[in-house]
Amino acid sequence: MPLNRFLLMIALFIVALQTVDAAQRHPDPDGCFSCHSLEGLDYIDTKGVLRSASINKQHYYSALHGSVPCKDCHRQIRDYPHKVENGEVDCGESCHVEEPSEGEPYTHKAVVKEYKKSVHGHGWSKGLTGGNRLREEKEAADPSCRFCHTNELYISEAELPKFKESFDHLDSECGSCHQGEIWLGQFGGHILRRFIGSRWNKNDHNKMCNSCHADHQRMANVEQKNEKTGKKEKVGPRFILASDSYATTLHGRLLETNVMQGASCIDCHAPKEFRHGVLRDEEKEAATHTENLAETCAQSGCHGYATHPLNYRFVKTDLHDIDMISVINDIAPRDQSRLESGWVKALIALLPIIIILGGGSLLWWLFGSKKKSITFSVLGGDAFQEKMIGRKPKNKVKKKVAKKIKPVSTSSEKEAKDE
Amino acid sequence: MNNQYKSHSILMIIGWLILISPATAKTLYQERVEQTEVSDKALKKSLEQVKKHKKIDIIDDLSVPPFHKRAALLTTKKQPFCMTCHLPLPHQKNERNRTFMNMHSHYIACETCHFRPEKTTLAYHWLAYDGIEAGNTLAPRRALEIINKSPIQTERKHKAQFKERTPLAPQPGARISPFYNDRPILLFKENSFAQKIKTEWKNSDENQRAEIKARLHAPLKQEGPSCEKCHGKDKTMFDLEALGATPMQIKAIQNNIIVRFFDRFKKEDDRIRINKLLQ
Repeated sequence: MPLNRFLLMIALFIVALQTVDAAQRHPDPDGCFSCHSLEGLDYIDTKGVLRSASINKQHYYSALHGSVPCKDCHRQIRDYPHKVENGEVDCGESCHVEEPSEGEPYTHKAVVKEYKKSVHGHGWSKGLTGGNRLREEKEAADPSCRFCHTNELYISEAELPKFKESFDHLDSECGSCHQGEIWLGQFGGHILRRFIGSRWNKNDHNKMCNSCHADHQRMANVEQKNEKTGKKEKVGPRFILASDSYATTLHGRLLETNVMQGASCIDCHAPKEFRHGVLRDEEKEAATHTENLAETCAQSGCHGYATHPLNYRFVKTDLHDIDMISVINDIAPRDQSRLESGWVKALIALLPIIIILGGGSLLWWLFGSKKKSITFSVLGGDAFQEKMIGRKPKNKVKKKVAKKIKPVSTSSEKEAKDE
Repeated sequence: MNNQYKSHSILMIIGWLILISPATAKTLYQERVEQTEVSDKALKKSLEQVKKHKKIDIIDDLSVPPFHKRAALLTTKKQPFCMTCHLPLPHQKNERNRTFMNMHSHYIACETCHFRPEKTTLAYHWLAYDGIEAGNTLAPRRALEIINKSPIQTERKHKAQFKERTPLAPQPGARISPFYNDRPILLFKENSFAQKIKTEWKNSDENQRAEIKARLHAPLKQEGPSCEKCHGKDKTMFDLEALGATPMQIKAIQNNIIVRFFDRFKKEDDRIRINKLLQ
């Protein structure tokens, strides 16, 4: 046998072996589901929190982490009973799922890095356990990874009928067919996630932001560092009502009516990279910083003209103008902050005119002539009346009226005439 | 005529008594509670527990959601008397077995494990906690199918059910419960005795409550039976076949990998490498 043919056979044999290895990849290599797939493995901890050790196997295999073995997240679990600290999850760690294009272990490290630099960066990204959800709720002001992201299905239940129709899939779960195969491990684990990632529309993004930002009570407790004094201070109504003021804008109203041309919260606040980098407006790197606003508005073919120097005023449009929120509304502030409103400024400018016209009207109503009169426009009125409408001109009418309203003689004058 | 009228009346009264007797008669547990004379030691222990007790309100609506999908806490139409005081998931302390014990509490009545009087033979049947049959004894699933279906249909259905891993319980919420003289031992919350105890408890001070608690727990065993008592092959508590288990189900119960794993624990604070589960 020629050498090159022999080498080719060996190469083919190695490739075939690798394929077999990959096909045998199993999302539960440690046998965790031997126990955790049982239903009803629950207990109530000493603080009253309902804890569950049951993992719905069907759901897990059909969810975003379905191809990730348990120990990739709960890395230190080796013994039973499990020590709580051994099950802690660090979302910034890498897992054994390979990123298919480069074959490197998949990780959320870059996302976590971006998130840590953001305004929400004090939230928890590691040390996450089922037992410390109550502590997080009480102590953490910023959202953690798990606050926004659960191990949800690849295809949301709402989108499932559409998916079934489009892909001719009758079964609701990918895992029932693709379990343990390369498809789920690589294609399903990465590419499909990207492919159907678009199922998160702008309203879904807003819903996520609103789960905190529409909660006025929660927002009223937020403290921000005052750049001038360096001290932490409670946020003002503009921040507390950010969600409400956004809802009054065209962006908010378009999305509310499912017209996806409107911009969502993160379209403006975190338009780049992994969309976790929301920064305060004051920060130079923020997409909403005054110097970056034009570029942000011009992104993705939205308001391309915003970058033109002559349109510099366009980016000054306030998209969180609390003056757009009705004063009658319970949540609207009724303090000095309202005096800075554009409405108030306009009112002050118009006040002299209002006083003159209003006062004049009042005086006329009190002391003016009560006689009925017919008024026509000052210029060109007669001609218009006569030619266009066919009505008698003003002067003629006036004369006619004057004739009709002859001065009525008094009874004493009548008597004098008779005499 | 007069005598005939009298005999009719007597018969009617006897019939009526027979009819209402199951509803009014005391259960074995109730009898044992009433016969109990509480020892000083038990009373002292009970008083300590009453003093230490802290009420726990279940929190299941945290703003931080659980990462993995989970099922809602199961509730049934009828609730056992025990739940007047105990949480719906009563096992809380033993970190090794609390979740497994709570899992069992979804299909085994509290009394099955904790009321095991000596020298008394109890029978075990399915008791409905939910649905229109709540409070009634249920026929095992297989028996139901045999009654309702033709042999061919039954066989087909069995095959289909085996594929779907049909649960052993004849209906959701049903629990294996102890019976004595063909009558269930357990009490539900709405039972008159249960109501009486509840009122007594409300109107009692700490010492009286300790006495009530000691009396109610006197016929019970804190420790449940060992796993082998149900999962073993010999001298087990239940006749699994009579409870409706198929041969495959019986095999799965008797050769349970988790039970074998639990057998490895020798001391209370043992921690065992999980990979031994697979050995």
